[in-house]
Amino acid sequence: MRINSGCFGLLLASALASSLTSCTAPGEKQAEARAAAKAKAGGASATSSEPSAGADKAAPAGLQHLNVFVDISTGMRGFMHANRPGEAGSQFQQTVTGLLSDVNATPGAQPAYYFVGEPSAQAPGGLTPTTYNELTQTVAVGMKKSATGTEMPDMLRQVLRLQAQKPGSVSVVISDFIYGPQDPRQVFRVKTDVKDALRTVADPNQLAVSVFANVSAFSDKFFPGNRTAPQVLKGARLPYYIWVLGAPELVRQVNDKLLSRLDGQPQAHFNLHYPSPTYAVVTGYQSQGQWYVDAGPEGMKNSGVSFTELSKTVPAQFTVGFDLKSLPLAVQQNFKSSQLQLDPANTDARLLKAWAAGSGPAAPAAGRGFSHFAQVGLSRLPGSKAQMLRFRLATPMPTWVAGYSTANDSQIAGQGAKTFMLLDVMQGVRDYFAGLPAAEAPVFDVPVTVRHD
Amino acid sequence: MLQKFFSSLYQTFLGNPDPASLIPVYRQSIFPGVGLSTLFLAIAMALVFYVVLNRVLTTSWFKTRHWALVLLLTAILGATIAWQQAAAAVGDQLAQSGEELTTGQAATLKRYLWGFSATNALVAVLLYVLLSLAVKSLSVSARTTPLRWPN
Repeated sequence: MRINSGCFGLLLASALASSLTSCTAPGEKQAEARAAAKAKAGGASATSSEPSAGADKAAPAGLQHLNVFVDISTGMRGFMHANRPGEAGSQFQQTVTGLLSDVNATPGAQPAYYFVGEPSAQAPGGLTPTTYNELTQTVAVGMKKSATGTEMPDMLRQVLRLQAQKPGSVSVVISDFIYGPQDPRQVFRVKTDVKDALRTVADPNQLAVSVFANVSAFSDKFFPGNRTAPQVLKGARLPYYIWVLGAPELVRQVNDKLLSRLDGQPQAHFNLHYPSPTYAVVTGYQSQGQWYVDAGPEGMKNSGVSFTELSKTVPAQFTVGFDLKSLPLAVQQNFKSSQLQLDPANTDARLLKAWAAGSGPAAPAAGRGFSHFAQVGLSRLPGSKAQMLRFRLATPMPTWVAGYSTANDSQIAGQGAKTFMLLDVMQGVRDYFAGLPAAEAPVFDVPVTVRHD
Repeated sequence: MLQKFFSSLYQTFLGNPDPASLIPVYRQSIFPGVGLSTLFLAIAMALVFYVVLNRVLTTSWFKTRHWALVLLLTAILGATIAWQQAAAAVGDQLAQSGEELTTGQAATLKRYLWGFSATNALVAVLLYVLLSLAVKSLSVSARTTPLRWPN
């Protein structure tokens, strides 16, 4: 059999043709299309953020009991009273009713409801067990009989005692948290009294406290914390607070699950730990220089950077994306260059800027899963060994507390939404946790390795 | 081992892949993958010329210019598989990581891919020549193509 040379000629021609038709590089067409679209839209393309997953999370493991305490002392009457037909109800009534409904529907956690009133023979600590229906009814139409109530530190003590009896429980306390010692000359004791009350839990490691502030219309008698004459208010706006107490892990779960409706409210968290966020170096976003994304410490994916070239004349910039969507809003809003700290190890790495997705430059598809970004600049990386940079986000300081606090509430109508000695109350909580290393811990502390290729 | 060998082979000719963000996909998949494919291509082409055309069959294709034509074909196929495998791997990587190249980076990538294809054509030629020397003694009618040495 003979094979003529025409056959090979044909082969050659087809090989040539196939190599010529396929010489569009990947990404080339897309890059051109993007450039064209950008020119068209004037560069104003918005970042679409992914819908946050996990809306239908199962009941958190470990959370078994949810105890809800509603203060029904006479001073709370102004928040909960019968409305006329068609009236919207006070913000307190709306929020607390919604919250109670969420509590009642929490799968896996057994709810228990309590009134906090005056101590009596039936309720020595001032706590009276009640039902969901009775409690929501009371919030909706007000209390049948007046009660002088329990002093706030005593209330905390009772709540924590009850909590200790049922492992796996978290307490939600709804009250105005107005507290003044019997003797008005001893108001300096407020912080110590609060701290001592929290001491019911001997080990501060076992406790976390979250405080959410709310303001609601108030129409009834107001009892000043400094024990001056009661004032009758009509439609004033006064603060009330929702405190969440329990084991740190459980408090975080309850905050996630129940109190997301309060996410926009002023809040303070003590000894609350957050899980490390998902983060990664994002390729091709606000970047510069010769580097590629590599494995990070302990082989973690995409949390390392390898430089093929790095010097003063060829500096590098790279962007790290963080997914903080599951953290409280206050924590997310704290993500800015003044609060985010970069530990440069033995390099000259510095934080160039920090921004939230949507407020910064449009992110490529690679960055769409992240809610926040930090850009790092680097030009010097001594030695051949990998260096470990660390990102730390500071815990937000509850600066709102000062604005909610007053040292004299005898003329509350003219002062606006303020609570007697709130600064001292919160200082008492802080003092209780003082010295605990975890209480001062940052929101996260995550490593990124940098090395030469 | 294989990754290291082929990576250093191609990077000696070409330098580091550009844009640098694609270095891992070149080193982990493109260089070793294309290198191996090219090796098999060269083996196949040498066997086709010496064993199929000049032992199993009896053809008039035993002269040096026929050998050179097969060499040219090997070079073209080498360039083609380099381009196609690299482009496919880079495309997969971009889709998977969500990285978006700028127009400038896409141009750089294209330049690098042309360079890679050209380099692989050379590699294919080199392997074909070496393998020719190795397998020409298996042939009946082309034992001395393209040269008499070593047998």
